[in-house]
Amino acid sequence: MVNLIDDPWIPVVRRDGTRERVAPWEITGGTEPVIRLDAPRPDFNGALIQLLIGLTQMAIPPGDNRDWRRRFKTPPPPGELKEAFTPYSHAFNFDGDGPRFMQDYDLNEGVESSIDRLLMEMPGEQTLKLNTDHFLKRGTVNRICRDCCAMALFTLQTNAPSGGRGHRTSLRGGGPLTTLVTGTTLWETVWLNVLSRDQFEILGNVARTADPDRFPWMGPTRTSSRNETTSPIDVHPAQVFFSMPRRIRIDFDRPESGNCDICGCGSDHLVSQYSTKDSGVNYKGGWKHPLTPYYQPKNAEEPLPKHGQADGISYRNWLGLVQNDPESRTQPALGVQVFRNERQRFLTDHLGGSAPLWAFGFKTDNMKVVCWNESTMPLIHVDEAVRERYESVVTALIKTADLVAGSTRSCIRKALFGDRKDAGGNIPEVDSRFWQETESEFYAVLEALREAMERGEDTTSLKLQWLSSLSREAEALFDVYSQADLIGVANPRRIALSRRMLRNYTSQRNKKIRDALDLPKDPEDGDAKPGRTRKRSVSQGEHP
Amino acid sequence: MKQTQYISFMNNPDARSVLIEWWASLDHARGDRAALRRCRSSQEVAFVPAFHRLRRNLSAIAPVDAEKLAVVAGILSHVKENDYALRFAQQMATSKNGSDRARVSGLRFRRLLKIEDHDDLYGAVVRTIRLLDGSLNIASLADGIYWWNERTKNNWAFDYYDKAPNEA
Repeated sequence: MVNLIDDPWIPVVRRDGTRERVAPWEITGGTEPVIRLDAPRPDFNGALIQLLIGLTQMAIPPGDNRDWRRRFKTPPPPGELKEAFTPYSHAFNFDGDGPRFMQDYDLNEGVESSIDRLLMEMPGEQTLKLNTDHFLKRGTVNRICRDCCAMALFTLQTNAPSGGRGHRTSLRGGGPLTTLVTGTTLWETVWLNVLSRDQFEILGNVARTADPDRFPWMGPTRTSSRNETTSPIDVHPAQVFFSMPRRIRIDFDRPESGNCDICGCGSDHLVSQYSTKDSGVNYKGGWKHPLTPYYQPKNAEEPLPKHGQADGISYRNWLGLVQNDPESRTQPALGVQVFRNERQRFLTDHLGGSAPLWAFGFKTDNMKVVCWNESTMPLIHVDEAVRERYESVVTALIKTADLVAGSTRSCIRKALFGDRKDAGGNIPEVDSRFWQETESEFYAVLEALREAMERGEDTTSLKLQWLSSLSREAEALFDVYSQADLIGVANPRRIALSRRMLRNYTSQRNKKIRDALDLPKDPEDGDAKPGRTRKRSVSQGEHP
Repeated sequence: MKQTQYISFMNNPDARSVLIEWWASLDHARGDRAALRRCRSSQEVAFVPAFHRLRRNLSAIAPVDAEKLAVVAGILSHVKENDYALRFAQQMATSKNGSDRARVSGLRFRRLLKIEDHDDLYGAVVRTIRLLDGSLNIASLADGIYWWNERTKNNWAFDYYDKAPNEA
């Protein structure tokens, strides 16, 4: 019998590089601190951290900021955590008779599935029928250990996409984006994302204290066969972390011996099958998950959670993940807002530390997983006095990068295909490379910008420096992708004119660029001749 | 003279002055110039003693690829005047006497860019020099011919169409 609170099952790494499995209450303690999770798959890490945050949020929510700071500096010892978690351990049995963690209470007549279907990206029924499992093939994950099974099950319930008729999505829809503030140890990472008691309690109905209201598997499932919904008023706020949209029961009655197909460990309790049924819990009605950014569509009544994207996560998503984006009406996750507004100054002033943002999530297309995104960004603390101005300049920097990326894309396309509207051939690498290659410069400019503003200095030179970086990268990408290497056989005029156009679009004299960067009026501009071209340095040679 | 890793007539003033002095000396040694003008390939240039004077002088500055330099020497014998106000490709795009057409048409320019071998440059560049009345930027032309590769073609194309965007 495995209990997910009492027993060690969570893979972690300690500072000295030691790898081991610990119980949730053991994430503090030990001579070497646990610094991070070490699951065999990144989506398992993403789910496990949310499990730990949810447990801690429920068991020891901080009363106020002083309480939060005290525990951040002095983590609770394992014994204290164990004592705080013990009241819930009866709900965390993974196998055995009676209620099981994240598994349907009284499932009967379910459809038998092979265990690899717990992994979101594995080929589904239709793919198998059509024989189109070209890349993720059937039969690669046949049996897994109970630890990996628990991780896979929790990952699925936390991120579930639509699974066909009646197979419900997760509380945040299919493949939600999660943003966390990360610390230097696992405990710090967990604690940095735990809200105060008051902030947590408004996410649900705190008067609902029965076990099934916190842990849906502790009683008959609130099924949705007639599209019944479960809204925040219906259950305890803990269900934000312990939601169960899919009706699943693992088959432990036919254990196998051998090695786990996910982590490779040897075990006598490998599982290979589970039962499932449709009409699980249907979470609707204004749920607000504290670890996910939300945006307000024009035609929707309530905000919707953001999802992973096919083109990755980078500073182009800064607006909406770190900063408010009024234009697309996106707000950072509640946890990120609480950190920036109430806790970041404490970290900066007293510990001299910095806590990066960790963003991850699946990109799904209905039932199909397109990709897994994961990225980190620095969270820069800005003095309250200059914060509003700082954020408006940051917005301008990102808008300018977006402008330059668009110009780069269109000029490369023009160089390759001319003015034809029907030309195909999208080149997504151009965008990806643009945002990646300019990312480190962006963060350097952010830091310099903060220093300049807090000293009351003018920021124009930093804006021009940023524009210069963008232009340099735009030209580099143009040279790579515009077939300039074959200019003799390609169309040299089209390529040369497209490159000239790109220079005009990314020049500091361009009106759109000046407006985006909010550059001051330059009196010298009035004297400039309309057709004047910038004189190139004589020293520039024609050699490689 | 400072030894560098590669030759560049535009960027290295020592190499440039050696080249231009050598070119100017052809005015006083017309037999050498006539011999160079009769050459049609780098192999023929190798038999002209004047070429080896240039090669030895430049070797003191940087390693020299004799075969590439031979093409440069042969072509430079057709240049009458050194006009260094613009780069060579920009001079090709400049219009003549107020006309709105480039002196080297877009079609001819694109054919020039299609050339791959150094020896094939001979005829095309010599005809181009005549279109420019023999007055052009010697260092820029020399660099382009010596380093005839995709990067040079790129730079020439950008220079040309910057100045003559309406050429075909």
